[in-house]
Amino acid sequence: MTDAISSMRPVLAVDRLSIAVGAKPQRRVVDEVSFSMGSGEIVGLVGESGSGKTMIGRALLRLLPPAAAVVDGHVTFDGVQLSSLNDAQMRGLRGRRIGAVFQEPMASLNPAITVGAQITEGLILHDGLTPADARRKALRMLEKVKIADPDDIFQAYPHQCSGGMRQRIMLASVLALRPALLIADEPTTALDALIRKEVMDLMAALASEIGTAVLLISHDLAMVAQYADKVVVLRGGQVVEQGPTSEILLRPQAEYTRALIGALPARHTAAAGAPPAKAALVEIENLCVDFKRRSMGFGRAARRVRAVEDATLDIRRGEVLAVVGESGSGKTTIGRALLRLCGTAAGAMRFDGADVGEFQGRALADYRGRTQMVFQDPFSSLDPRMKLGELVAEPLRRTGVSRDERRARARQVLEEVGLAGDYAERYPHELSGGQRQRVCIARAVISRPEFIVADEPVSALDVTVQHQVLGLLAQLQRTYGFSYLFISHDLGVVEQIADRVVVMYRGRILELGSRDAIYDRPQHPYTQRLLEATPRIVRREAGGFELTLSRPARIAPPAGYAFFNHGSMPGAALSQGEPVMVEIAAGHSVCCIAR
Amino acid sequence: MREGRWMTITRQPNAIAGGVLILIMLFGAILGAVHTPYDPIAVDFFHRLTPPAPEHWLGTDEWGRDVLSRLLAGAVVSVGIAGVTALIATSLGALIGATAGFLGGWFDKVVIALMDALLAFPALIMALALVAIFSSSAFTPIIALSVAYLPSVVRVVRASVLVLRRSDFVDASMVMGNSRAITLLRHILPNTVAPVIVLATSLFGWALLAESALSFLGLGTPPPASSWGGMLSDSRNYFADAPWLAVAPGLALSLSLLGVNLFGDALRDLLDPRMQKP
Repeated sequence: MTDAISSMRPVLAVDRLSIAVGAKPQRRVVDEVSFSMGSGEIVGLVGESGSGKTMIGRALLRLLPPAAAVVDGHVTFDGVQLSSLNDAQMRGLRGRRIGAVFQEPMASLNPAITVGAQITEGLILHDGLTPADARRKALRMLEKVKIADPDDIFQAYPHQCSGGMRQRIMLASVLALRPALLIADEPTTALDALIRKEVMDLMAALASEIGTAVLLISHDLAMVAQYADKVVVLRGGQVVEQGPTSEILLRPQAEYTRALIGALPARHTAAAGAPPAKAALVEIENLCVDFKRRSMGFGRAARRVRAVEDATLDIRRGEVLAVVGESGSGKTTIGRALLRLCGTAAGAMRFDGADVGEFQGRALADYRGRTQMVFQDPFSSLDPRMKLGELVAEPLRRTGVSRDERRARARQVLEEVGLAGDYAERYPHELSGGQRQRVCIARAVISRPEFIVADEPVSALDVTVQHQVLGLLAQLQRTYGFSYLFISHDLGVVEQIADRVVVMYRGRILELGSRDAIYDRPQHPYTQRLLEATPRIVRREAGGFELTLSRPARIAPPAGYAFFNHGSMPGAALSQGEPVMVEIAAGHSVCCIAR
Repeated sequence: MREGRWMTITRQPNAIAGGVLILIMLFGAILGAVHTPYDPIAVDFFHRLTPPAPEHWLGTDEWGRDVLSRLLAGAVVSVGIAGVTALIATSLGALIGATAGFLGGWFDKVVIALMDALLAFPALIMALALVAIFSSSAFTPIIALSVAYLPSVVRVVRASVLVLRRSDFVDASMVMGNSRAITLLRHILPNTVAPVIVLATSLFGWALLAESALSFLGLGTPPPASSWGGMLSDSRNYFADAPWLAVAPGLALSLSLLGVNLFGDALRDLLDPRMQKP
């Protein structure tokens, strides 16, 4: 509470709060944490997994899991100590005075009740409104969170709404009660970049309008830097440092904060190494991939959904080509089609000049020896019943390498990815997420492939671990010179690792160009909006850090063309006509339609 | 890890009780195959229906045959048939179910249609029909019951394969250049072992009961060879005079079933992935 400069009485004061889990060897997951919040203030609670940030949020709601308990300190909300309240009084506080928004909006909304009923429930219960008044107020709130047609959504069930809409509905139902404090625990982590920006903008606007204090619990430092007034940095349950955002995130004092911010992905100006060879290793021409979506009920034919539409790109030897896009953009499907994990509907794929679609039997097995894949979820991509040594050496089994040789190579490659050779005898469940991803990488490189598809390889990892794994990927590439198809939704990560970038939306490539061209001279309005929605913290030459938001100038499409727009893009009507890729500079092309 | 699991199971009283009962049952079956106090089919008209006594621990039946010897010899037949049935139904069902789930397409559709058709007949009724068509021998109930229990195994294995097939490590195996057969054998099947083992124990229990029922109805093991169901059937006429004739095989059957069920339940809890700590 060293920084309680605000003249008003704080809405929330947390004083030496300590939380412990377990019975006999009691372990403190939150240790003497103190901070305070004034009304209308947004306070960011940042830290990596295991830092105790979620526990603090739960303690403020007095909704700790059964195994955990507050062992010391107290929480004062609006002048009242929370621990002094009985359960009934606490229930009266929750929702009405203290609202909460969690990461997964589907889990927080009751699937069996309409959206309208869920919002009005709180209003009728806490504010004593009549159903008609509650309905009017709910509709007003839905309008406020920018739901396009509130009357329809009022009648809808949660599963009929998209993820971003559900999170906005959640926000509407919480803020309709005008709580004095809102606890937002990773409120946008499950959302795509554009929707994340919308939801956060809304939350900030409502905070300043209604005067709600917002506790923003997040691992996303750049987002916190953009929205929070104050920041509390946690590590292992202890406060590392706290203070105004500009002080903490931009001029961090503590070693840990500096390391945390330093681990954020950043663009490295082109390494002095030789530029990648021009020869294309992988070529994709007019690729289309369909998914069959099974329809409900008898007799109805399966519906075809086009996941990738008319995609043309190439990947050169020794290059990292990144594919970015939100969920459902078809970026993963391209990688899966290339490795023959799913069929294609049209188009051609060539690897080193040979037609990938033609590979059968022996040739397919050989092709797979020259390509590898790293998956997003390191928990499900390792067979739980096998030891790491066997897992890592499996690609070698087919090649006729002897058992002893395989074992030796496995230990060697495990060491290469930064795990001791003894890990060969362990099972996947004994490892952390970052360690598992290292095992997956070891498995991918053991057969010295020429081409690796990396599908969101660092999305499930903490910032510092992510930094290490990205470093490992880059280092292995320098050593062995393979090419990557790097699939990611995180523009920051892509900026750090990619040589060239492809931007996809709903199965279509919208823009393709070198990393610098895409980030510095984005052409397509969608690419521009994506970049605008991605705040970045960059190191300043003068020392310290600074928050940057790119605001690219709107650019006129090339003469005779209009930018291609998908019908579902916000604020854009579906383009009529056949989309074509128009090259606007050497190696930089944009999806347009002829005018 | 393995040791850890057995530590857990040995701490559960139900599992221990079940395990002990199963061990007694197996011991009886092995003993029955190796040595019995008397010849189980030797007729002795001078000692008909003698109650339990030191020379005949469980008494004798209407033909003067030693009940204990018949019980032990019957254990070989009953436990053997149940065991072989469970083994055949499980392995065949696992193979069919895994292949159907993994390949999908028309093969899967045909298999599922066939299994649904089989499932439409109650297991015992179908076994009765098959036994009635073919001659009565030890093999007929094995085949009939295996066919009857096949669908449940196929469905369980197919369901878990359908889930496993979508997991990343199966994709990873394909990317490594493993063929579909190797992926199925190395990565998918081993991960279905837990539910299959649990199902196999239940199948064993059902088969034990069904074999006894068939024998009780005179359609199982042909006399004079003994089986628990047959002994129960024979005892009906003498129940008032010689209750031990019914009690001995009845108790053996009930306790064996109890043991198998208790152990199967404990096994299910133990192998449930949700019970495993990461």
